[in-house]
Amino acid sequence: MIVAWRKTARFGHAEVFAAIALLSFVVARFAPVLSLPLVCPLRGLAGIPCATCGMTHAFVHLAHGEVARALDASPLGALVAAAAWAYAALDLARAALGAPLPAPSARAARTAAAVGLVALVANWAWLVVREVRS
Amino acid sequence: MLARCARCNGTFSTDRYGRLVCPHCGSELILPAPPGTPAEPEAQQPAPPTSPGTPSPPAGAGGEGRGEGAPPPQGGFGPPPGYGPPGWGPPPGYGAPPPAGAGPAQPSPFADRARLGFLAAFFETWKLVATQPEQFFARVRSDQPWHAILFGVIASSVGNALAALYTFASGKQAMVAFQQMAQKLPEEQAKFFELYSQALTGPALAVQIVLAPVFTFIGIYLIAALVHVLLLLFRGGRRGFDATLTAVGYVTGLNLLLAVPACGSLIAMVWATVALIVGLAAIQRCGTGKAAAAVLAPFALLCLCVCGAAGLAVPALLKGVGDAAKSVPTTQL
Repeated sequence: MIVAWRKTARFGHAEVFAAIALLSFVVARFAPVLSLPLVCPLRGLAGIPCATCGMTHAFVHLAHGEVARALDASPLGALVAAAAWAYAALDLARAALGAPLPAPSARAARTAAAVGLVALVANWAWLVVREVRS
Repeated sequence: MLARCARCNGTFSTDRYGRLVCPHCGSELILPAPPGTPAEPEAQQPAPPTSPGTPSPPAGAGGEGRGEGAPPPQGGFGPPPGYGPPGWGPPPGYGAPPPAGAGPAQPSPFADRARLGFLAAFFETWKLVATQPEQFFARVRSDQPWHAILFGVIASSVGNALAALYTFASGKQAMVAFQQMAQKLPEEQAKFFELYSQALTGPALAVQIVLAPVFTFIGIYLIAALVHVLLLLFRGGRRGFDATLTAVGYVTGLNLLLAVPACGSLIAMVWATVALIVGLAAIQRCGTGKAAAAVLAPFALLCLCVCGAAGLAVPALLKGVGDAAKSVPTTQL
């Protein structure tokens, strides 16, 4: 079985993660995040983007509905933002309705983790190549 | 009677048979009734004795075999050796052997702070996490992550606040040093140092102190999620997300070392990394190798990608050196 369903308390870890995702949307949409004087330490010192470089821009652009700019800033960042906010909405709805929580099997979780790792490395490679070529 | 969970090896007392929930790891298990005992209805499940507000584990958080639709783990559970009729208990070799110091799960001193007193419980827990992580995490209950999170948030906030005060006290000298350093660096690096020096001013430090608890809380969850995903990848997250969260929460308490002037952050980082590896191995019963792989994989990935980026940059660097050599005027002798 790939996914099982489990009844949970109304507010558990899943809801904490949903709240964090929701907070990220609120900050990206309403806070002047891009005007903060923050520089990636790796890029600042070595001139190389880190794996999460561009993610703040991706979150902010996506929160403002600018999908193309979000994907350009960081493809993985745009995907993570979209997935996180969709998860937050679905989980809060699930918790409000008292519906059971989907619990992926260990194998499905391992596969998802491996896919995520490969996506992270691919995104990083894309960022580095773009930086070197520019 | 005493019973032992086949998944986490934690013991607990129960007075009934049938479908039960382990109070330590939350696994749903079946305690078979010995021959001749009338079976009890399955609907009478007692709730696990968790602390108020303790939530259920999240989806996909490593709760292998837990949940309504999940089958109970092989072997069910049974009493510790010497209890009950022969044949009870998990089959030999089920799961990893418990680490040194493992025994019946106990709440941490911090979880028992109402009885011990807050400061005594806090410092006793801190001492155990810092100096005996293997023994501490082998025995601590993994179904009370809220205590671990609270411990981590309090200790880290105090450490951050003291570090901010030191920084504020020595901020002017540091700013002058950074600005002098920035004058000798290329533009991009100079900008980085300039921005870093701005973070040493009073308002920035005040914001840092105020937001430290929130950032620590979010950080504990995100680090626990990252480490647990990697543990799952290495097949090491057998006791679920609660156990990983407990380890990360208590280890975050070592950020109290940020209060040490100058080198506190370095000491805290190294100490916390080592304690997290040892603690994860003990609490997840997954072995030090898997725990080290899960904790160090992000650092290894960083090193790998920096090396890869450097490799990509070498051709461009060589081309630049070659162009520079061609543009230098030569003198024919």
